[in-house]
Amino acid sequence: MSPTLGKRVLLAMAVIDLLFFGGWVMREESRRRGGAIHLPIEGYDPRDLLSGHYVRFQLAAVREAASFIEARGTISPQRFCIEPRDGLYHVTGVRKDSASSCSPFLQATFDDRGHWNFGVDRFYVDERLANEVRWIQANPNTYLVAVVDDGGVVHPIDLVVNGNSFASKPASR
Amino acid sequence: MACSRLGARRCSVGIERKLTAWKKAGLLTEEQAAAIARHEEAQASGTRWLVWGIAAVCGLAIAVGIISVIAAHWEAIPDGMKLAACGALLLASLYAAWRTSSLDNLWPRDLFLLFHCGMVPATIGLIAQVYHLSGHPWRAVALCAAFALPAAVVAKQGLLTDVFIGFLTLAMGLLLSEYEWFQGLFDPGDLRAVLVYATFGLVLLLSGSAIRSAHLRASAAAKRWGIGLLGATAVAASVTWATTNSRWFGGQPNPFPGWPLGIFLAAAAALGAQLWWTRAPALRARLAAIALLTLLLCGALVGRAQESNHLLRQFVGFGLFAGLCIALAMAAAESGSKPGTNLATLALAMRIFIFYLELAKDLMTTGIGLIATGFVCLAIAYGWWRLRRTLPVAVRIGRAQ
Repeated sequence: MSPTLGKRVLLAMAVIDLLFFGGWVMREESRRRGGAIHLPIEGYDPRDLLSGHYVRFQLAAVREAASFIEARGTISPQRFCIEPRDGLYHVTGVRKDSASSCSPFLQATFDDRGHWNFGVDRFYVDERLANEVRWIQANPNTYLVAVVDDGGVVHPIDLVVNGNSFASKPASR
Repeated sequence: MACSRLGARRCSVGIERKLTAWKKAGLLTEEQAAAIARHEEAQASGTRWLVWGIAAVCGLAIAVGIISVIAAHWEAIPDGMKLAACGALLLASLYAAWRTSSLDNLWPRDLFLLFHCGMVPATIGLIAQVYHLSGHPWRAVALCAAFALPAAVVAKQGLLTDVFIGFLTLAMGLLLSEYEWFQGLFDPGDLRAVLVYATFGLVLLLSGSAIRSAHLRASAAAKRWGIGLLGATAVAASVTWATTNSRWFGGQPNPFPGWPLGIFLAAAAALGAQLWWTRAPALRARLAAIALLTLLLCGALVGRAQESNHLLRQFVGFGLFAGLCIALAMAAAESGSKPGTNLATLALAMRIFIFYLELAKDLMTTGIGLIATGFVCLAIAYGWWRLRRTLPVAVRIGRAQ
């Protein structure tokens, strides 16, 4: 390859890097604008809780959605209506395709274990804070703060455990 | 040939002896021998390798130290600053590659491109961390492969091609494991993932030949990976041939999709046709290797339904693997590839040892069997020498040109 062509390829790589990663960050930023809702979390196993620096959890919506419609053998993706109850949003039923029967709503696909998958099951926390999450129990003060976009996709912003926010917590405590 | 300082004297004596022998054989003139001696002396006398080694260790220590300090204060750094710094490093690596692309020695440019290839997964990981994104890991690795491709095209060295193919291989593995294609890998008949990887290996060999004139080192990297992947799939199929336990008797087997077998056969036919068309060196041995690999993989599938005669299965599987190794060793020898010949022979020797373990089940019987086999081989070699008064000699590189 000639040096001129090589330089052109390098220039194209720089432009692609800038456009792709810059566009990705801008897209994620824009999706997180808007009203945040609180989604209860539950069902995690302390032995499996931490994977690296990520806290793994399961949305209560997974269990609630399964009570309305079984994941296996149904059309995927499905949309589920959510409504607030005691400050936390819970699944109240399946959203009809034809009309805007409810808003907001969550979109889910079924995974290989036969569960509804809402596309969010982990949250990054600092390693030194991770031990605090190890022994917590699911309760009304433990939830995920997230923005739900127009397509029903969940974008996590914060994890609140026993009333303590992990997104704004300093690592030095 | 560069000699280290400690071994310089011994090396110098060795070279002088070789030069004398070559001059005596009429292969070198006095002037040529003197020039070689001067060159080797200049190479050996320098201490630059020591300096470069120390500099590399210092650079590595500083880099790891900076990373450790940043990691210690990771949570205190604002997300925006992390993203900006990562983006800056990504673009700076390309700028540095740009600046060094005019040098005579293109190693620095290729190293900056390699750094860029490492920064791409780091950037993806950082964005996923900052925005708490979840998803299938194969997508991230496939994205890394896509970003590594232009770097592999630009680079002079084959290292960047290794990185590209490595990302691609990993992405494929993660994709297959997402669909649980690796579960029951060594169960008879469940060779879906193996066939996909074997196809990928054959495609790499085809691509290696296609890009040989345009990018020799990338071609060598593609062939390296192709042969490596095919070797791994041959070993996996060989294990399947020797396996006794099967889940086909226990539970309901997964339905075997026909397309992995179809694409493998098509790729094998394409490679065979390409070898035939280009009149590649050691054509017969190469075609035999393709045929034996096809039999090894497809035969492992045929055995999925019944395993009544397991001993026969073991022998046939061993025979196919051994035949494949012999064909590869012959192809490598005729093409002048000494490492290829040695690797194929080593694989054959290891397979023979494992075959004894499979049959004998204990070390004692295996040991006695191997000793007996060794003596038989020695007797054959001695008999050959007595009859012909000469031993077969591997064909040298000249045949390959």
